[in-house]
Amino acid sequence: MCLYNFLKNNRALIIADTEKRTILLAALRPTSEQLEKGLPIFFDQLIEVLKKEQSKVGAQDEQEILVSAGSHGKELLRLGYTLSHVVHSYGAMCQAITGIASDTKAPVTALEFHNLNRCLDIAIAGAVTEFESIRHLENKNREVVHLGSIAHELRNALNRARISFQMLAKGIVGLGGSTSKVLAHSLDELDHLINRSLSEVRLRAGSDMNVEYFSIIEIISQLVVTAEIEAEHKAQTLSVQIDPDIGVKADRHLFLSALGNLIQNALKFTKSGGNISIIGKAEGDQVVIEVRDQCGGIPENKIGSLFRPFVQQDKDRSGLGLGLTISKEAIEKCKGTISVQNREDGCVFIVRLPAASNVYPTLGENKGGLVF
Amino acid sequence: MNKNILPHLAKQSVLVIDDNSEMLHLGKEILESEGFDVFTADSGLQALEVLAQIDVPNLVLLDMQMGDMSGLIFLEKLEEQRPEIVQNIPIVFYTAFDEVPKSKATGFMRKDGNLDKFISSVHNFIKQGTSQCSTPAAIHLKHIFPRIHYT
Repeated sequence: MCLYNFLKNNRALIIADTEKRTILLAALRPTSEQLEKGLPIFFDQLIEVLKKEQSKVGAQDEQEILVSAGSHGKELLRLGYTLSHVVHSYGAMCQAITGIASDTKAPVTALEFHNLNRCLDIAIAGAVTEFESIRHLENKNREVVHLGSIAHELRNALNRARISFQMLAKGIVGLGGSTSKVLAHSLDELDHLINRSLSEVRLRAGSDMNVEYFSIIEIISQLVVTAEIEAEHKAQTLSVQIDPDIGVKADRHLFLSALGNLIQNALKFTKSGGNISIIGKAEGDQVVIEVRDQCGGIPENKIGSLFRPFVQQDKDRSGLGLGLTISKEAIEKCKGTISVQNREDGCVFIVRLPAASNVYPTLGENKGGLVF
Repeated sequence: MNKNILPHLAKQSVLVIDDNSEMLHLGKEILESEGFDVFTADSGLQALEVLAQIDVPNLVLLDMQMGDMSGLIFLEKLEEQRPEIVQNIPIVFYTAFDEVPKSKATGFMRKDGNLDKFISSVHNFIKQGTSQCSTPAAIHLKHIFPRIHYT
């Protein structure tokens, strides 16, 4: 009876304190929608349960709490909560109730606290179970769609390669013309898709890296051959300025895949007739590679989520929004960083990696006892 | 000259809609070598513009997944703006998908890289469309023609 009245009379205070504690515990600031539709809903359900059963919580109440917590967990996932946030928000509510009850010396019995804790435990279990089950299902669906998308891209490129080959073989068109270029580009695209998929597999499997020295100009030149053909189709200008002396020690395939994705994106999202620049330079002990495009800019509220898996900024983005995630993971695996900034009428992706030399050991890497 | 009225006197034409410029290039080269007039559009919106400027083609080859709109949305828009085209002209999905949802398209061809099959399917679809449109009464019967799948 007392606990029910206490919760009812201190609703606003408890919810405000819960929100404050949730932010501290989960290190996350909920959005206004999360605050409005998150725990307050559960809190009201808790009051109802305690009102119905003032002395003890029965099996039917447990079931009700489980069901409502399940829908609460589903709602929290929709609102963008993490699992940590779900768990911490219930813990925060418990702390808020006990803290305020203690401060105000509310006459709450041990049995009532016991019931409250049971309700919260059941709610956490219900919310987490539902949250995880839906998240698992969503991830599984995304994986299936992602696989389908890769197969779709492969088939498109393979179709163009086979058709152009048959046109050349039957003499419908001559060798050395635009159809030959389509054949070459389609094969390059297949190569890129396969490399990207293999990089994804390697990143997910946590495979060992094959670290070796390579110059940046060597890798960029390899990528530019394909990019130039694509740029030509959209009448885009592709300019490349790479310091010939810069190089890194990294996994060549991961690096190639990461840079390839950035360049492909720049070509795809820059309007016809636009410019794309690739710049490579040394900055202190780092190598900096910039891929600048004229995509029109990325909305500021989307920049933070750009590297998250399955986030698509445009319907035209193929691969279902995994390209930038792979780029980020690949660069980080190479001990580098990747970031994006808006500029004029487009954006710039900036990759930073520790600089390396082909001749002399890099500072700190020498294991022979000499310090340079 | 209106090709729906006198199809046997006019050069047959095909509109290819695909957001991949290389696919458009290949489609144009192949179909021109088969004697067709070929028009291309790299988006749904551009296709609507092209259709407003040209005589009604004998066949429309339509990509399923395009940047600005899907092939299905394009069909809906086309029906709103030019219902006579959807009713009288074979519109065929040319797609990398294994199957396409039910729609008002006449059928679909899979992008399987088989040049001969592609050419013969195009001829077959046009033949079906032409035979339907050869008499005024046939136009109204088009909806009962079976949907053809060349895969």
